[in-house]
Amino acid sequence: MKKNMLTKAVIGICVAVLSLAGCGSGGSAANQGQVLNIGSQMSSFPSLDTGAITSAGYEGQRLIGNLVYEGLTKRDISNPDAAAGVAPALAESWSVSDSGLEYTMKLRKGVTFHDGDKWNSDALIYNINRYTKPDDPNYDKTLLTYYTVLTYVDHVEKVDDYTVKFVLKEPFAFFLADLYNVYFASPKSLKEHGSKGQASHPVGTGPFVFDSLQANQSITFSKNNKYWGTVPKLDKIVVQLIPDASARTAALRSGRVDWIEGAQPDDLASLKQAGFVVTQNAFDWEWSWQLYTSEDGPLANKKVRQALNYAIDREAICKDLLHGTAQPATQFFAPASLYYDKSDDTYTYDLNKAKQLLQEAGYPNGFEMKVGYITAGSGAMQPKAMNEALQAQLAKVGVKVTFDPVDFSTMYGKLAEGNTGWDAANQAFSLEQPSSWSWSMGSKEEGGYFDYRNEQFDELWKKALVTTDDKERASLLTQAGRVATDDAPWLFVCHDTAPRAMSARVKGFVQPKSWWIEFNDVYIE
Amino acid sequence: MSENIGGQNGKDDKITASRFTRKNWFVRMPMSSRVSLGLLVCLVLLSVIAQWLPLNAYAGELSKRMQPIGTPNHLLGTDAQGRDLLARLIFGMRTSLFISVTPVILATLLALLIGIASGFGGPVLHAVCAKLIDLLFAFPGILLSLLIAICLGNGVFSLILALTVVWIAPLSKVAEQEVHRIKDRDYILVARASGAKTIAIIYRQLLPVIFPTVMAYATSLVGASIAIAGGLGFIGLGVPSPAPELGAMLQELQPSIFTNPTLVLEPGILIIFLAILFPIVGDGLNISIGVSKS
Repeated sequence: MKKNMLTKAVIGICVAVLSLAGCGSGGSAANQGQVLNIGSQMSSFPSLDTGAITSAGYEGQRLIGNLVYEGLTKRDISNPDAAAGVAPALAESWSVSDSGLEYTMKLRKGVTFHDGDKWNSDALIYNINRYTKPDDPNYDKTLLTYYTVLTYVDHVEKVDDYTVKFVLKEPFAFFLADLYNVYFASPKSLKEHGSKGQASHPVGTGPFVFDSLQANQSITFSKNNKYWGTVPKLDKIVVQLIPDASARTAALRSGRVDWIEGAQPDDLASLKQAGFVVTQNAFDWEWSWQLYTSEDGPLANKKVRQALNYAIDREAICKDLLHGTAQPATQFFAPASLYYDKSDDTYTYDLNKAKQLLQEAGYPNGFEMKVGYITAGSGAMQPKAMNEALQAQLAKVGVKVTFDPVDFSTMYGKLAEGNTGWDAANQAFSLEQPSSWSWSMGSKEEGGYFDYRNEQFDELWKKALVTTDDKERASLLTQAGRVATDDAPWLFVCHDTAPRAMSARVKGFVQPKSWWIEFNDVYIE
Repeated sequence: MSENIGGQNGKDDKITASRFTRKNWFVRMPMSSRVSLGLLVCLVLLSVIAQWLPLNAYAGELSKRMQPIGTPNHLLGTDAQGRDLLARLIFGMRTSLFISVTPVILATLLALLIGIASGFGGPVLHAVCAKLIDLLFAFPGILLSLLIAICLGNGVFSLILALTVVWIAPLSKVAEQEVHRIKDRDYILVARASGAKTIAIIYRQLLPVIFPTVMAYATSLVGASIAIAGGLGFIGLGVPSPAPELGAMLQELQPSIFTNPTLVLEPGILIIFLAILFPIVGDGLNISIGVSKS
């Protein structure tokens, strides 16, 4: 009896501990034809309906949305060495009125939806009405929350079958850039299956056609032979949910998948050694701590914020912790941003300067701060290890950091609600999207989560918002970034380079300077 | 723990109690338990004197992260932040022992109270205690501890509270059974008849008899306590960083399972080791001083 119980206890504990350490189970899937199996970081699939895909972050858009649907514009990733600007997609060209209020779009001709319906002005207006008109039979109010750009639209006029005019309520210079993920669904499919139909059977114009969905496992797309652009070489793309990073690596090694997103920096060397290909490229990705600057306390003092920025060793984090899969952030913009100016690089690792600034600010012995961070997900990089490295580094100047690790949705719920009880939040985002600017850099009244107030910055940013000339706007934003760099409302840490790993059989992929990627030229050897 | 094993007239119980007081309990334990107890005492001593040893569980250079076992100055390698794993294992063990043993001690005290209240407090209190124990039993322990730890947030206090609540139910059950088994024994009736106060009876006649059994059982629970605390630490409900804790360390190293498997095993093996030693000692105590099997 005694022995029995003991054996049971031993076995039970062994099983428990080993399963905690977790080994990914390796399955095998025979790859026939041009099938690309992707291991994704997503933990669940979003609703497959246009805007709702955004709820799965950029990875949801990259691996689901952009395959099936298209917007009027897209990210220009034609040059992998240049920052990604705006390129035409379902719109062929456009012109902007001097007032910045009217955008006349020439739509691409000869484009059909996957179900054969025609892409034209009527199809566009049918979709825009669905997003914006509460009296439209297809109206779904949640979609508009993902498409804030459409709140600027007063109305859309049909000029002819392939020309429409967007009339805005107020000038919004990011209109074209922000239209990139306003997807268009087939009106025929909307009529047949109703507005809710898209959630499980998305029908767009994209390079891939939705094939099937296995809940909580995988989603399959097949090639769109009638695609208006470069017809994909792949016959199928299968996106599998493998949220655990080491399980993703294991899946790649075992051949269950050919491609993994968010490859773990620690695994890269051994993956390369085993013959896998690792790709990465700098892009406009801000991994920072956004500080609550307006509340009483040390962080309201600019010198303190600058001191924090001098106190962290970004090189060590990027080189040693992340094995070169990130670039140090020494200013507001990433080097891969359209608005980056090298002369604004400011923050180096300088403990003496940090200590001196803290002394001047009246905190020679440091202070305590609480930071909320997102524990996992696309773009969060290695949140725990990185934050704990920062914690150790800041401790050297007496700043004691405690953490409140939360998941993705809790983070945004808390931020939107306010009263987080934190002194800073850590989450990562791209400044390619102006909405990132408003919530991260706006005052409370303007919907800013951190109630950041800086008159100089506000003036430049607001001017940029209504400046339709691309060069002029870029210059204004660079100036705004310069102000923000000096004022240090964030702890600038690093910029991701999106490491992915793939089997050597996967060819034709060149990683652009963007979170956005395209699969049209990818093939399996 | 059935009725007839401890003897019908209470004589055996007296003997059992005196066995404990005669201090030959150690010799009466099987060899495996004696060795385990020895190892445990060493580990506990090590974690107690850890702060006077030349160990730094916090200092680390990122350039020296994930060093393998056998690295000079880092005998057991370094972790993801470049901190010395030997130091972190020892301090982690200290934390793990503290958050695993404390709840069992607290729960044992509460369980004895509940057991005695149930046995000596009259039928109403008996019914209330029985229901309370059943209620706690209705929740699986790990779920209950998860619920409490999530509600109270991170930290030592919430972990200890969570585990205490978990262990109250099984320990109370044992304590209650023991009290009910003993309370109508002849020698207790004699004590009562000779005018002893209830409190004195509990202290002199009851506790010495039931305590060894409850303690032996409690000791074996510490193993499970360590495993659960490790599990909670693993999913991030443990001690906040940068303080070391074995479950959290396992979680931290887990991504390296393919690149540095030996490092990952270190906290895992230590958890298994601790979780096994306690039940072996508990079993031995049960044989040597408990009433159920000797």
